[in-house]
Amino acid sequence: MRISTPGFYQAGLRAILDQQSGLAKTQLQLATQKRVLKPSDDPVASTSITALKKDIAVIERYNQNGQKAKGYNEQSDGLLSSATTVLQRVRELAVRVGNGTYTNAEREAIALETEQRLSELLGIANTQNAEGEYLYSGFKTDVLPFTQDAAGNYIYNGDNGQRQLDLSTNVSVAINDSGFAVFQNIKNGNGSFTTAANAANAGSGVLSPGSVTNAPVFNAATPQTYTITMVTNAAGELAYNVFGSVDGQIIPALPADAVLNAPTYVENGAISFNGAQVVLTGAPLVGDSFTLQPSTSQDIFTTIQRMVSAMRLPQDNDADRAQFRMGIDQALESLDRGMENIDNISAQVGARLNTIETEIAANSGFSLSAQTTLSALEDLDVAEAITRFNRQQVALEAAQQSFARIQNLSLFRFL
Amino acid sequence: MTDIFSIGVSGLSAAQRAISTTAHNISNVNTTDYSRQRAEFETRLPQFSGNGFFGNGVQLSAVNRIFNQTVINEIRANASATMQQKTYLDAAQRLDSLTADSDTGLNVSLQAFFSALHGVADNPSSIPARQVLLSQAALLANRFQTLDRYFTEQRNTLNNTLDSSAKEISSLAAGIAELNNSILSVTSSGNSPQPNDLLDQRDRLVNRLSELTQVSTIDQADGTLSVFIGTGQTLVVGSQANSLVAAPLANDSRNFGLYLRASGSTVQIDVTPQLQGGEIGGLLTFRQDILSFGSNQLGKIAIGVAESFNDQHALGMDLNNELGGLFFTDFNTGTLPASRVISPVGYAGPGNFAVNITGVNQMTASDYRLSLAGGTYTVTRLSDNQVINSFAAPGAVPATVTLGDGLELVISANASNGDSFLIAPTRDMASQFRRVIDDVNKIAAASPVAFESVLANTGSGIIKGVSVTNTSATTVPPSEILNGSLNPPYRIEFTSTTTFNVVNANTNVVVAAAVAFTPNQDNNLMALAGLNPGYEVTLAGAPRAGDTFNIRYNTGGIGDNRNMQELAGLQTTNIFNGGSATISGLYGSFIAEVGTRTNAAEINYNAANALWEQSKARREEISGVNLDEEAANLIKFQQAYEASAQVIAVANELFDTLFQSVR
Repeated sequence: MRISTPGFYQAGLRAILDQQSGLAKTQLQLATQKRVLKPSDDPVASTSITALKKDIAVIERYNQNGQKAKGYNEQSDGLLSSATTVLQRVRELAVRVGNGTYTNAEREAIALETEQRLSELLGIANTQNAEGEYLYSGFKTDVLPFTQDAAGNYIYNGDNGQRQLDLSTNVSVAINDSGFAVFQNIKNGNGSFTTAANAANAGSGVLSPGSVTNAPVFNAATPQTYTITMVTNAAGELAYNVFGSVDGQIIPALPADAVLNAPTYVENGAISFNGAQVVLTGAPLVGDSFTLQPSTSQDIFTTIQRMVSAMRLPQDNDADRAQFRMGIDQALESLDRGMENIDNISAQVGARLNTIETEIAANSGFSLSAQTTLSALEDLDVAEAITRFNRQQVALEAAQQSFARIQNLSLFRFL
Repeated sequence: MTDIFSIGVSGLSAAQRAISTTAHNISNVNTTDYSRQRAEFETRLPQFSGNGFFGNGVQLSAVNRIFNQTVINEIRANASATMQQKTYLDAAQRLDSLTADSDTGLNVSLQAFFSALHGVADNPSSIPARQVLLSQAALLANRFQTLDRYFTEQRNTLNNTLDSSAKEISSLAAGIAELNNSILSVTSSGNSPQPNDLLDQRDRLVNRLSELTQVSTIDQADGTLSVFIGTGQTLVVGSQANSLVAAPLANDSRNFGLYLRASGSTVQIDVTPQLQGGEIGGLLTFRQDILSFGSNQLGKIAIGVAESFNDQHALGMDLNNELGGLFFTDFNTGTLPASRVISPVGYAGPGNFAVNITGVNQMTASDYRLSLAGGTYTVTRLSDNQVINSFAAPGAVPATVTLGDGLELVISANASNGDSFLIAPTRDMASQFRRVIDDVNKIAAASPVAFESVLANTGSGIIKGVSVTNTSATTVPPSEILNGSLNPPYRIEFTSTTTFNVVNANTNVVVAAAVAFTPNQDNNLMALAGLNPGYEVTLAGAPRAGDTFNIRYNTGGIGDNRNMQELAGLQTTNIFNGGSATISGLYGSFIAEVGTRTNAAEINYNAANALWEQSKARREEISGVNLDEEAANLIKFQQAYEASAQVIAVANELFDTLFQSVR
């Protein structure tokens, strides 16, 4: 084959340049430790690389949310358990004072401590976080949640808002509970109804807080006020009848006469109607009356406030003691509802913390596997690259040396 | 005796010529496209002298250049193919690394922006978090603009390169025509020898031409060469050369096209679609495949981000208790809609159009052609030449027509029959992507609708959430969410465990009475009541008769992050391509597209280049100068010269001998 002199040089030079560009690429790969330097190096892999990098960034962000949500919920958890401690102390005081063997001064001391506890609880409800946001005012985080008006009533200034944070694409978790949900939306009494004695009662009859024994029947009835009145029946015995403000005469059932046919009063006997059951004890007198009213929401502060008021009730006669007894009982019932509610919220917070842990773990697992895949796609196999580098280096040297040798060969040198 | 002299002299002069040809070869060893030459000899006419023919010495018959036309044609074809791929590859590679690079690409900015959104969702009333969001939004806008500017710069560079290529082609054509003329003048005198060096020069010009665009040639009988470009457009015939001019395309003035102009004429013929191969072919393919596509795709992403973000932001409430305003540029205001319809260069009317984006979800990255013929408008999608809509020209203007592909055409004045316009909905739109909001208080992180259960409620009913779907006063029916209040706020009053009334809380008028409710499952109250106030209230649990829920404006709800959650969720929402691609997914597929095309161009270039190198090597084998060979020839001809000189010396001696004997 005929070879032209410039072609000969050209071929030698091209071989050197080719080797050099290969070497340069390997060198760049080694310097960056990346196999794919630009999308065209491996278009298929680079699509996945872009997607994986985005996924990892999104997950990192979700985990930041998770940490944040964890902080909020842990703070909430701590506050709720403080609140529970306070409420337990209040309950203890109420139970103690309920024993009724204290002097007025002793009861006043207990009432004062209870008031102290009340302001402690109010402090908890009005806690701010590190960023100055009130924790229990819903979305209105710049508003003091609980205040007292001129009449001494507790007012909630926040709203029902509950803030959520995303932990993954389709899992979000609440980071707060509104003051409404924690401290305010608590059904008083036994949760279904409250009992009270008429203030004019002369006897020592005490009506128990009662309970709902047949919920479907109780719920089906129109919410109304029930009145139990003590009468003397046809047999001349102390008896009672029950009227509903809507249903009218309930016991004795119509067409029986409300007074003459009224059932005889039995101390500690159960009185049942419309799915509700109460127990009347003590010695009520004819004309005394008791009422059952449907429970409404009552904030925990009002509950404790009423407990304090009950503690201060005079105990001069049987009727006073009966009022005192029922006041403390009702307050205790309402307090129990409040404690149940806070327990319930605490359980939710616990469940949220659990969810957060699980999601963070799941996210981290996903992130790790994404990182692994990313590394496999993007990172350089260093051993292979170094081998390749050495091979290319040897090839370049060979090309250079042979070129230098061959260019010395010319017939003109011999002329 | 004279014949010996004469023969000797003929040998001397032949050897001299041969040596000078060899010297010419040696001196041109590095001349590009030089074909080595060879002096060809023949015997002179013999002389008859009675008993036989006596040789009369040697004479030069021709100086030939050694070449093979087939190989030269191959080189030109391969040069066109290689240079096309090389130009394409060079341009694509720049974009390839730019789009994916973490410093210049869109991905990192998008991630930072969405991270900032989560930051505000974490702590909606925090001013620093909001400030970070504004900064990141500005950075994102900046990135969109930078990328778009890069595309624009590429386009300008491309136009300039087309211009300089066209000029070079014109000057090459003129050079070829001139050489044709010179060749014609030396060969016209009958059967004259070939002007080798002129032919080489002409070949070199045609070779360079083939690197710029694909050419075909025809050798004419008179020695001239006719040159054609594209699909047979005449560039050179004889001594006449046409010129190629780069000028804005008639129907799309932003891009340059190439026009052929006959010498001395001002008539230009658009040959852009016909030109293939070479640097020009590479530039045109790159423009179509990557540059226009990429710029449109980027515009599409910009519009999609801005529109979907603005839409969601408008559903929220800011720290001033006002409804969310624009966050990014509104792509359907100002001059933007009209700028999407591009009239032909010099169009004087009467047509007047604008295009609005109505559906990000259905948008494509394609351009469209709007043409009017026989009173009917036809809209063709250029990416696949699909007619997406055709409709009769509306009698009354202005008129608005839904085109499909998420576009809406506003006709302010009808065009004339035969008019044609380019619709470029997404082009350059990324450069318009701006952060409009500049007050941290105006970031609408909250939802404008709040709800409350009344304390006296006895049931377990609970409002699970309110979703806001519309805050616009101009829709039918208009949203009841006003700036700062609900018109009207509602009260949901349960009349039994399974029925409720919706009451206007301002007037206490019952708006919907005894609406059926299913306890212990999610109930969409507004839908059940047949109301469409622009939001939906979901209530679950078992409310009892007399229970009341209030729906009101979320005044003071600064800790609310519901709308920010929705905004942050756009990162993982499939807002593009009929609900199949996220923002970064679409951008990723664009990167992949550029990567794949660059990769393919690299492979194609390597293949084409190998073929080109091979054909060049074959030409070198045939026509290239080998110095060793020339050295050998030098020795050979030197010896021949010496021998011929010896012949003259012998003849001289013979003369001397004769003179001596006569003396």
